[in-house]
Amino acid sequence: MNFGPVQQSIAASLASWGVPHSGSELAALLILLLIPFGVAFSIAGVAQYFERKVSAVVSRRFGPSTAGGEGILRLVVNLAFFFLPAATRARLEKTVANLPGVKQILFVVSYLGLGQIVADGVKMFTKEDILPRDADRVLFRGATYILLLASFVALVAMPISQNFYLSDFSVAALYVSAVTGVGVVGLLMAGWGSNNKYSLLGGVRAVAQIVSYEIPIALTIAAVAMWSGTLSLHGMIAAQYHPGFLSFLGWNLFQSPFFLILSVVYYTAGLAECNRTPFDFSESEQELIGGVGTEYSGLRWGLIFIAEYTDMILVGGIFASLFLGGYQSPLGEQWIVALPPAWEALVHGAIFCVKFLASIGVMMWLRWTLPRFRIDQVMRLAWVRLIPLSLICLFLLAASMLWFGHDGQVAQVIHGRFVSSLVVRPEGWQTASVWGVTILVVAVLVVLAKKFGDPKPMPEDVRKALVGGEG
Amino acid sequence: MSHEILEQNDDLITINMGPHHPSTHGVLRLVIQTDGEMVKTCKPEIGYLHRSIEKIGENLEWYQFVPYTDRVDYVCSMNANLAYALGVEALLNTKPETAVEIPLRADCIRVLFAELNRISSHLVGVGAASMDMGAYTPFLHGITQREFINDIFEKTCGARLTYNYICIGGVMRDLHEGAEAEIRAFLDQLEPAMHSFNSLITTNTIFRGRYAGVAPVSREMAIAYGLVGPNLRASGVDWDLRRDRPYGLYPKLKFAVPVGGAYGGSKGVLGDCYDRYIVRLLEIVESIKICRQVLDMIPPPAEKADDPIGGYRVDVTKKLRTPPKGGLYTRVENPRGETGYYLVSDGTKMPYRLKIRTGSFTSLSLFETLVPGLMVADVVALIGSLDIVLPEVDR
Amino acid sequence: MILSWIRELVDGLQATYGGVKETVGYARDYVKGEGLGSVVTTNYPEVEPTLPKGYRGHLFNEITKCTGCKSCARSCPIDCFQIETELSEGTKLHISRFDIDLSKCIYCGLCENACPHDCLHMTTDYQVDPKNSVNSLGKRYLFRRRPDQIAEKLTTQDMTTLHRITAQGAKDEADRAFFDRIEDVNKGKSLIGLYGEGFWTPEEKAHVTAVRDEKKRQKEAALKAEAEAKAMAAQAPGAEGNPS
Repeated sequence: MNFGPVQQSIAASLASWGVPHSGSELAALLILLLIPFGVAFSIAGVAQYFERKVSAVVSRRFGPSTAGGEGILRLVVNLAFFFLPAATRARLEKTVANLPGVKQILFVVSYLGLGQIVADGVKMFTKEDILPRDADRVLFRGATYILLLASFVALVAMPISQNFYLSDFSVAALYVSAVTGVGVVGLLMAGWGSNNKYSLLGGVRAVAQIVSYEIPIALTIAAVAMWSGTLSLHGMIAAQYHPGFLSFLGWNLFQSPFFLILSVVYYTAGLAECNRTPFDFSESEQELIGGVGTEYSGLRWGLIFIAEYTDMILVGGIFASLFLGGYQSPLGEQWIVALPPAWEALVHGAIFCVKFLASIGVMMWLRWTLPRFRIDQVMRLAWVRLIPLSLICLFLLAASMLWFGHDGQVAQVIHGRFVSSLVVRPEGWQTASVWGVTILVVAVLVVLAKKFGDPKPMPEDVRKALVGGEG
Repeated sequence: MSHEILEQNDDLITINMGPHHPSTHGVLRLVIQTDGEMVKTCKPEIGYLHRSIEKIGENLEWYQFVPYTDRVDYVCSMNANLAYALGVEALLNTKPETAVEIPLRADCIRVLFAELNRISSHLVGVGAASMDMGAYTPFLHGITQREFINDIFEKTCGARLTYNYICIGGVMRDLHEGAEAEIRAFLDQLEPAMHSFNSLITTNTIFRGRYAGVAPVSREMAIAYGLVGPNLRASGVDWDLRRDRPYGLYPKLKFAVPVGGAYGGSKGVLGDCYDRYIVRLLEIVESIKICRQVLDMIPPPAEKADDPIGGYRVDVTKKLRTPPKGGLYTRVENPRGETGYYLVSDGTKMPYRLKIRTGSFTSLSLFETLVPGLMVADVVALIGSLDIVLPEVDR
Repeated sequence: MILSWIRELVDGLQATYGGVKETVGYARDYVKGEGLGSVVTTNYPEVEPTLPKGYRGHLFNEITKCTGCKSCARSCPIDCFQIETELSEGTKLHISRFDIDLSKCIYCGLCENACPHDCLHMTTDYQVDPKNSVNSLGKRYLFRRRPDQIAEKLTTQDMTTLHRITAQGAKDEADRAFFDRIEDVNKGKSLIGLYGEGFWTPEEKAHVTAVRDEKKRQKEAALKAEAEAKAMAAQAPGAEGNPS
């Protein structure tokens, strides 16, 4: 198994310190695998803070604004000097609090509510681990591990950059889609093993939802694979390479109007996979208290929570790779590719992070904006709307590719490196004509639908009373 | 425990949406049996908030009971105060020697504050209903507007929730300095805020999909089960006590009464949850109109020479020590429907019997027949749309 | 059918777009700090809320104006008042005890309304720390005068000063000393404060218990006497309506 140049270099340095060769590769692998853990845990913690802040901004509150301050100081002092008796620690804390500048720092930390991150972490670690009576021990405990497993194993396939990545296998896109499906087992285990009817209902709903929305995701991946000629995520990114200053033109989003529609389909299906509003029916507080996670507390709940946020990272990352050109920058990509390896990895990694963090941000925003669907509406959306839509787009995409004579052949991508002269794309006029025709047809359909679609709109006077003159 | 209430049935799941639940709007226990997601039987159980207010009233003097009426429905306590005050005044008016004439300023302030409280109560009802559907933001925006109303009330009567303001004979204190300008400014900024609120949630397709066509209550069923208030009007019955059995200042005011009309688009049915929701929103619009009319009508405070109190109250303490004997039923239009007080007096300074009739109690009686056939999520939608407040149910 | 399918898709997108537009508007207002989006929360306890003048908070009785008429106690729906008065030299009642149990009080304001001498007010105090119920004078508040102060006559100057201190608070040490001399906090007085065991000093507890036991004893004795009287009357040969 080949994990790329980074693993080789770590293995080489380990070998130079005297670790035997086979062990050094394994050790390097293990070190590398710590990276997704670190990333996921830290992003989950920070994301929790931003979730609260976003909700506060949208609802005209401060949000977390006073968590921290003296509490953080006390925590730090007590942890760092745990060997001292309590009275000494208390006095030490008072002394530190009176040092110059400390009060200002604490004020800033507490004003922005940054202490919330620490507080959430401490809460997760220190709450009591409860096993409900009559709950199935193996199922209850195993569920968290399986949920976490499903998300983290898929995280290995994320394409971070050309020179620094965790893995590059030739079926990465399919692999991610398949592995996240393992989470379904975890949800069922949690739902049944909690000995709680609310959890059971929540688990059953979540399973139905996730299984249904895997299909639009698979169809979307199939469409992009058809276009790019490869299932490897690195390969799909390479197929979106565009030399020249305006490198965003190479992105799949702009290559074909069907990709635009499919990106919306993928994002919606991804939201449903992560159980986020508007699809968070399986964990809606108002009905099910907490869905499958009702009976979990402390770190076990924390692990479920991190699994959810890792899913969001996954969806964001794959969305970026499929449609937004992955780690490529929107402008001037050819100069970044020419940078020395370490710089290139840094820049590309940063761009990739920005992209998936932006998509997580949009997910958070949508959570506070939209109400949630009912479970049968969720199913309807998947089977009656998204799957036919993605099938139609797939079919029309294939038709357009036939018309162009574009076989979707991308030259072999070697270790993620681009071989620019071999990327084949349709001509400019072909792309433009497909765009034009599609926009025209969609506009006509939308206008017709608006006029004849709804037999009973709201009476005009009622509507005006509710939303004012502009409507 | 749940199995004691409903018959044991091994094919169905018995779920106890118990008194501790985020969306039952209080301590209501609903025991439902579901076949997967479809509910087959439902039995509500109440009494968790029973405080024997009616019995307490038999041991207090007439004027001492007013703070208790606040707690009967604390979301709209001005209206509850008003109902009781009107009841006792009607009782006193049955004999000429104890008759009470409320000055015009007191009447105006009463109606103004009752309508402001109607707005704030509907904001809570509508906001909580949308929060049950997963939209967390509109609730908080509704609460923000409610806080402005609470600020106005706080300046006038000193409290933000249980006002104890409308008393027998008038109101406890006069309007504070600059009250009228403040209320006008508030109403001016409430209209665009409601437009914004509605564009966020009411016209949202997802929300409409959750509410339209869910649990429709037909006209006949509404009348048969004794529904009142916005729930009755949403089922198409054009009945509003303020217009049809007017009291206080209402005969002089012009306002429309919104009635349900299957507003939910292609899936909407008359009397469904969406209609109830829309009727409450439209009532907020009407209340704003009423408040503006009343603000134009308020007379200035009385001169000290004419009226030592100041034109906002008449002193009824002596009359309350020997009210006329007899029983009387008075009803007013609460935001939740008809709130009626059946007062029986035996001539002493304490009532013989006080019975409170509330709208939420009868709304709750719909559950056993209406809920079977809905999905579990729709049960939550139904509770939210009926705007049931448990202290009113249990008293 | 196809048209309604398309329409539902378009509606969904429109709903999302409309919602996001609104909330982005709120966010923009939040950042700019104006309009419908400006923040309405205050950061308690760093920022204390500004309460209006008529706010119904804790009760305060200007004991120097109080005549002990007990109108407030009569009007209270909850019976939080404990008022005891004694005759004293002169025409005014001496108020030996004036306690309001603030944990029972529902802050309805009926007592404030009922007071004929405008001495019972509701203040804007709302915070209570059980260990430390201090009021604006910096002392645990008291409404009781010591029994041996019945004889002490206060001069008009003293009355004015006392009136000022109770209305506006103690300005400096001299005021505090004056108040101490008049009312002598240190000997354990009744407090406007919370109900509970730890709250009473031992002397107060003994006093309260003794008074309560005495009342109970008297009531029982009265009942017993009445029962005995009834029994005697029933046994007596001249009982009415009772054919032997």
